[in-house]
Amino acid sequence: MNSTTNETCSSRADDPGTRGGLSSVVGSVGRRRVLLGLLASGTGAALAPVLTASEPAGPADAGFEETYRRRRIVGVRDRVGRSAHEGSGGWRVTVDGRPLHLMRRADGSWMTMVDHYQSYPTPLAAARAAVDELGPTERLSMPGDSADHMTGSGTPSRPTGVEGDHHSGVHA
Amino acid sequence: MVYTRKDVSTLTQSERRRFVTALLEVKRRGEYDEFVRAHIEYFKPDGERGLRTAHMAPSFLPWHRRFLLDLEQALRRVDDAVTVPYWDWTRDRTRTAVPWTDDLLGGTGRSSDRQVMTGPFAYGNGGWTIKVGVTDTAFLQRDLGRPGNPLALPTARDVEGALADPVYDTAPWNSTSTKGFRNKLEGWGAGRGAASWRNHNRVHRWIGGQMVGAASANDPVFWMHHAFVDLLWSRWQQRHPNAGYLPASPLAVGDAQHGQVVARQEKMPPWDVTPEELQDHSGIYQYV
Repeated sequence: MNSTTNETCSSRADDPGTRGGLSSVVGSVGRRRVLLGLLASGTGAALAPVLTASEPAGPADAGFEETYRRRRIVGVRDRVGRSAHEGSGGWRVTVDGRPLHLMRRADGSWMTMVDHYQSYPTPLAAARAAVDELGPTERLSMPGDSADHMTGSGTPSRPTGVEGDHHSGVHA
Repeated sequence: MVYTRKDVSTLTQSERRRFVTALLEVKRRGEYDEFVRAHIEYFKPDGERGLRTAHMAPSFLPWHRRFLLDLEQALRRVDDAVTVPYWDWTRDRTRTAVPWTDDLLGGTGRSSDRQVMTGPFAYGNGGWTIKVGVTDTAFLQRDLGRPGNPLALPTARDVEGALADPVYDTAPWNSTSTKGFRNKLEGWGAGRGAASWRNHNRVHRWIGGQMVGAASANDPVFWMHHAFVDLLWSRWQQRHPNAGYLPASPLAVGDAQHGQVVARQEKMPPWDVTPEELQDHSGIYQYV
């Protein structure tokens, strides 16, 4: 599972370059930009068979799978080769099959890229809060899901996403 | 030459127009989206290891000061009369006050999908397509005041609670610091839900839409909000002239935050600059 979803990483050698005096921010970010295709498309379906059914507010360590406000939320405790300091908090969570990046706060609570200025007691609560923030037709970004961002071959046409898996799921 | 940052409510019609025009041009040039990317990249929470500079850290204030300076430079390359105005959300508190007017940032989003339909940054005008985000949405979104579950902007009293703290920041130098000006202003409060959203964080939540997520810099109000946060840092410095950025020196090897926060004279990525070098902005700009 991890070998297929965790390693679809491509880095960019080229840099969009710096424009005028914006040098510092742009240059630094651009040089280190990496696309990590964490949880490539279809992952939600692929993970489903290994899930154990869980209660919505189940033990912190259990996975979860539920439909919340017409969105399919799937969370899997990632036990293989990943830990909190790698940026996912040790969880793989998807909403309608698209990766929702979870992050851990020092107080043990959880936050997501969608809802970034507050945190929640469990990964499921954070995922629900992210769904709350999504509009009726709004979807999470998939790395490279836009024609503007990827070529047809699946190779980034220009830097996509940002450094490391910390920000997988950013459309850029 | 030292330039002036003004309260957005005091801008003349011409100043409003030139500010908006400069923003749209920086966006058109492709520069703006690099700021959005940078903000996303540097949002590193404190439950993870590694250096944090932008949030949940003492350098929250100098990081955003420098971030604003870079954006302001980009604006001033377009029009050197433009500076970033600040939005005093303790005074302009309603959904129809400045900066939510048609000649500045436009208003709140429509109820169906929170799409901003008014003002220069409405998607329909063609000049403000969201290209870097955490969702697939191409239009700017807001939900001012979150009418579905209303909350209020921070008050002058809330701000005073932060300004009164004579210490810049305290251990553990993160979002759980219960004392110190920095986190009281950044706004990671104790508890859950609305009660835990203080000052800076609460304003992001009040605006809604992209401002709630990692790609918050997509909303041009980001800069006005952070200019006011930056102004509050200046006010705190004036009130506590003998207090400075903390930690003053790098944390010891045994400290849980060793290597994770920037001390006063350490470089603050992504820039080759230290918090100490950013403490005094009087040679670059002033607030009126």
